[in-house]
Amino acid sequence: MELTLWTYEGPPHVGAMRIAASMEGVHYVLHAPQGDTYADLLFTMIERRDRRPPVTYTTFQARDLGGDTAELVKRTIADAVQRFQPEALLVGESCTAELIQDQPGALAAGMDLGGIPMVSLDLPAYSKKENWGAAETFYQLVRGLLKSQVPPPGTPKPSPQRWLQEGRRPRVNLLGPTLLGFRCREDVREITTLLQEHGTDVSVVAPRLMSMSASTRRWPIRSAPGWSAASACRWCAPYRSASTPPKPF
Amino acid sequence: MGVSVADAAPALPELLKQSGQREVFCGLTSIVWLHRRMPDAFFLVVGSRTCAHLVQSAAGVMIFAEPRFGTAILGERDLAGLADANDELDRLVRDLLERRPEIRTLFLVGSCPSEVIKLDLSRAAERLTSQFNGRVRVLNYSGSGIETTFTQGEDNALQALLPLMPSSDESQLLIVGTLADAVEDRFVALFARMGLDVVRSLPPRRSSELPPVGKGTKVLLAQPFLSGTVRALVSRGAQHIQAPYPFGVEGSRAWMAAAAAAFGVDPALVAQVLDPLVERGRRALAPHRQVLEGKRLFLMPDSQMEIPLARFLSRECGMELVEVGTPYLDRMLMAEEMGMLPAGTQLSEGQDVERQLERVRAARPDLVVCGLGLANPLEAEGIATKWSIELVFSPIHGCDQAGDLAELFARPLRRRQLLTFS
Repeated sequence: MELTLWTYEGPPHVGAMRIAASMEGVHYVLHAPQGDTYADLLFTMIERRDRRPPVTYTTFQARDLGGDTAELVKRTIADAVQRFQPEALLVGESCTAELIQDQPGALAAGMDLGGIPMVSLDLPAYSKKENWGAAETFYQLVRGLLKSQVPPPGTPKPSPQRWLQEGRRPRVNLLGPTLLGFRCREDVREITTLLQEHGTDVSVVAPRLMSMSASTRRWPIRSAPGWSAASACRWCAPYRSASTPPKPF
Repeated sequence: MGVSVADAAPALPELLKQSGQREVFCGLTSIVWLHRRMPDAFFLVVGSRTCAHLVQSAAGVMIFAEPRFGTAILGERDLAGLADANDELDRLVRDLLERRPEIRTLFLVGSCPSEVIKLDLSRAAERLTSQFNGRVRVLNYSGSGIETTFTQGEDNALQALLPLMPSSDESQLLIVGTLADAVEDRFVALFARMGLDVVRSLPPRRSSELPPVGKGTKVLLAQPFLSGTVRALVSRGAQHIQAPYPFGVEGSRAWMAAAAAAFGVDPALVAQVLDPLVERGRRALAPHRQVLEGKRLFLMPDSQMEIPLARFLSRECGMELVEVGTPYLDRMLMAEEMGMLPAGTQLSEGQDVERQLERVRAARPDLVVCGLGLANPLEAEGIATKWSIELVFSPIHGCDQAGDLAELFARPLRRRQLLTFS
């Protein structure tokens, strides 16, 4: 137990919300009690977005705890999928839901979601914070969605000089900028300009404003130069631990 | 997320009851105004990082040199064994009180996680009170989202103070519910002019100077969300004065007149004191009524003040009510108000936010009163909004404030008018 008069970082599920809200086509079902919807205002008031974050809360109350909260989770997931028709679904829980152990990810895995990919998030609320939650969510999302495209072991790595043979400019991806990140929008613009002036194009910027359908089209691991799901999480390193060297975001 | 219906007052259509996602704060949010009212108290939430983040987000990002609220954040170690959590809490409270000798009352505020793990804060409060041996009183109440919504936190905080209120049958008027200090002073002065000399408030300005309660106490509610407190005061012998709430000229006059009548004050004297205020209040309202008249209003459930405000905005400002949402409906506390609503007013209790927003979009009201999570998205859809949280922070009670209260609602409409190019 620690006394906190001010917290710079929120809980890890707020980090997951930042990833979900940064992307197009992703919806997040959060098992959380009444009151946790406060986090919407971070996006509508601080980020001043014109829409609510793509998050549906189960908002359970004391009277639900006597009954079947797992049923509430399943109903909420089914309703959210039907209403928002997402291209990918994140399922997770906030600090209180973690204690009642309904395991919403496992419940979602047992449901017919119409074939959309579902990523279950396990974000320990009592030991981790917001930036860790963002990095973990992005990593799980990238891994969950691109797993099928991982080349078989022994496949030779694409040559870093491939752009010369293909007669085009080299491309890089910028990974990490999110909504509610400090000056992310300006930094992406500045870095993109700087790279272009030096002859390098920016291919994918993610997760900020990355569309889910675009992700599956534009992220084939085999053809993308020099990065993979594993390097995606290395690129997200600043979110994961303070000991890694600082990266642009 | 089913819909069921229940009977409402005869002149009103059936109450619309919904459950589903609720876009409301939890009771912890009440700390944001309670800590201002009682500067010698400290509110220690025993909860998670989410609780700490919620309170500071709702407080509008205020950093104080010496904040009067904080969070004891539970960690993995505390969840492993409860004895450990109690020792940790004792240590943390000792550190806090050593550094902050000016604290007279410490509220341990329960949260969703502390309740789910059944951390017994009432025993912790007793234990700590005896440890500090009279220097600090340690109390506890729940502000958890699984049990309370938004303003219910104040209801629970006041009930925690109740056992400490001395018993006395002295005749007194007790105003219950947080008021801005200046507004409270004004009411006390007005009641004095009507011959009511003993007027006290709960919560008091100093947490250690609690008013007494007993058979001579007549309770006048300044806020419409104190269901538990008023019932607990009645069980201590007090009498509840039924009245509309002091919003707008009409409500404020009726509120003060009801208190005067309960003490047998001559109605002629009441009229002599209040009529000039009513006159002045109506004049202050007039320019805002011009903006609001005929405009259609939708109130999302949030602060529990929706029904009295709807009454004020329809009767005194001429607004048309599309739907009046309330987190929960306490018919005893709302009896007078519901009787004053125009026939046909649609009340709704609870929330399924997506379906309520569908009704908002279908009705295209001119103004929606809602929480901070919904306001900007609705503005982006072309619907003017008023943040309901402003209503718990602004001095809006009394005839003198009626003009300012109407202005709060007229402002978004005026701004929209100025920004329209056609």
